[in-house]
Amino acid sequence: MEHNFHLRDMIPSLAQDKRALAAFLLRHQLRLEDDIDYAAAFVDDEDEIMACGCAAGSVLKCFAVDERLRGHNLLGQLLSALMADRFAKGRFELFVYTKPQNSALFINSGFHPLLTTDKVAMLENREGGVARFTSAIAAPCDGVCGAVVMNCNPFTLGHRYLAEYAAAHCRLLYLFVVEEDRSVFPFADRLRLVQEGVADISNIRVCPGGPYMISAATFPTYFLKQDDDAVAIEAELDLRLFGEQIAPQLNISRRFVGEEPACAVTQQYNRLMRELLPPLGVEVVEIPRKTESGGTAISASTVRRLIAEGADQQLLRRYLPDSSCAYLQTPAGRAVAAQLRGQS
Amino acid sequence: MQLKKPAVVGTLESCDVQITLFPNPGKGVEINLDSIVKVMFEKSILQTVREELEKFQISDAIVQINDKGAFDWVIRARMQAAICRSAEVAFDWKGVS
Repeated sequence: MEHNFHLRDMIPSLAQDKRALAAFLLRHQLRLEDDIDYAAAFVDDEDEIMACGCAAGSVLKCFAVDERLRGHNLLGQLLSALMADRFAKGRFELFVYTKPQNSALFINSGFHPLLTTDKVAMLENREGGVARFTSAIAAPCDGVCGAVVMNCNPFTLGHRYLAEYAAAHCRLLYLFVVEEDRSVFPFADRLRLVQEGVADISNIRVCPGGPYMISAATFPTYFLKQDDDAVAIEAELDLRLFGEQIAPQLNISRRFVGEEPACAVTQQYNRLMRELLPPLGVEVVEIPRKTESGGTAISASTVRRLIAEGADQQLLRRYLPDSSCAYLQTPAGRAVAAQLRGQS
Repeated sequence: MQLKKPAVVGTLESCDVQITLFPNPGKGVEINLDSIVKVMFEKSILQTVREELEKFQISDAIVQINDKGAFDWVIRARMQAAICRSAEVAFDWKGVS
């Protein structure tokens, strides 16, 4: 069969391209996710899509090739286009999530398997990414090393309490701040507020979470069947990556986490943490939430709600350390507060 | 010449090669070669890659080669493009002999 087709860029912010991509992906049981900002596609003379691959930040996903065109290595060319685009946009460390049975296709195209679970395979474009990540932050430690992973959107007295407790129960504490910029407080500001908020505790090392501390938002659930439990699959990938690769390289043997009273997703994540990490040599310590002087459990989501409702400094002080309160008075902090108020 | 930023050139199409360069300040040259014809042409490909690095006097670089059976002159051209892109310089067409 003769096919005339050529490769072209697709811009999902253009309604026409978005419709065409979404329709094509739907035929292949995939969903065009909102975070996709670029796609490459093979189209025929009528501009009908025959194959496509998409990119969202550092993640390459939503690959589909029309059945009739399989075996022509269209994937290789799609990947080349996606990689060229990502590099041009300054993203040099790229990840692919795919079904385990498809990982060989990506390995042939120069990707390296990072971790495979029953349901999903994660690959990266440069081998040894975890080792580069850990060697850049590793610090000498002659006792128990601990870790805590926080989003800190924004840094509250609850985070402070957890960090203080954890630091008191190990020699060196790695405090990872989730780097994925999907929170209303920008990553650079979240990181700085954490640094300021724990500056007086000498055995805490505040580190960016890097690409390996996966947030729920980054996990591409698009290829999972509806009966698959996306949260469980994401959590397993995240926790096994931590337990099997990050923790051994940093000598981490204890992971601290705050008890979750409300959010079902976090509850499930914590439950899986208790199940998966101890067999990998990482003890899990779950500590109860700190409550503010009025008796309410402190959580960043409560703080965001209070800000959205226009709560005054006096009330916020019951939840936030001075550094976070001061930030809310800066132009950047005021902009975030205005954004929160606009959402409510 | 110094590499300034990571750069990728070429494609994974048959008979082409995809080359990714990363700066590697002070740590020498590291070449990772993946080729469908590695068994036959490993030495020749590595030699071509090294020659091009030497031409541009690049002593520190991580070079990832994903070769789908490109001819020698394709590999050479891709290397030159990768180096110029990574070092942020324009290719000197006058210097081509």
